[in-house]
Amino acid sequence: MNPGSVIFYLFVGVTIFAAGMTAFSKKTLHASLAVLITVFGLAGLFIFLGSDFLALTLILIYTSVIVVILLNVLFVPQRFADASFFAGRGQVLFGLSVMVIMLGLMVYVGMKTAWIEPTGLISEPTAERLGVLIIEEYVLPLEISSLLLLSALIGAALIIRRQGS
Amino acid sequence: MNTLSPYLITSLMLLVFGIFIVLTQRNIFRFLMGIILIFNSACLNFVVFSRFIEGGLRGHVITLFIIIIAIAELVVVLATIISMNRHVQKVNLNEMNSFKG
Repeated sequence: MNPGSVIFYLFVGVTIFAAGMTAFSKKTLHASLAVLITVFGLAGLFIFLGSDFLALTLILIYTSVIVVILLNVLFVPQRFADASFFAGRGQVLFGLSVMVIMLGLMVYVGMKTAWIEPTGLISEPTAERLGVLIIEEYVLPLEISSLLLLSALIGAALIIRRQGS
Repeated sequence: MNTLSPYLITSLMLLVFGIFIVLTQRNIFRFLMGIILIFNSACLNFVVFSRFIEGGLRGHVITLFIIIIAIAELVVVLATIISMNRHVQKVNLNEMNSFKG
């Protein structure tokens, strides 16, 4: 086992473990920190996949978002932030059973499928090619998404505006 | 690290944990984290298949758009949380059932 694959499996393990921490930790603050670790692990996996630009984007955007969520968690009163609001034992059992059924189904489908094994993979910087692809082929989705972001911004400003100001 | 299965297992676990959170938690912050996990699992799948099966960069572009849409959604939800905190001080999704505080 070479050092590269050791680091790779470390990233995989950390990502899965942090996602589990998000699902099962008692405190909301710990859960939000676990989401942060999950995003960092995912960025590491993206780098292993040769997509450097996406890894940087993921870290830049999601760290800021999760820090804002974390600040919100700190601002609300503690009894609200940490309350887990499990809607009874039945719903937890329902969630667990859905989880197990889905896991089993997907593992079954994955075992049945004949995956194409990759050959001749090369890793080169993707930022330039990605920019060219966006400008040349995906201009309309880019414009629509900028419009969506603008409307989300205006809507958010409208929602949190104080009454009478 | 050039095999498909570890990536798919990671993505599957993220999806499953996210769905568990969305199904069981009624705290809006936890709910948001579950949605983030589900979005990220979809992103990972797109990038993996674009590298291993397709060989181009289309999956990367789709992942960028997924991130944009997720951010737009998170902005609106966070604004709603702040507004809810100002008016009624609730973070339980089952109790958030009126728009006028």
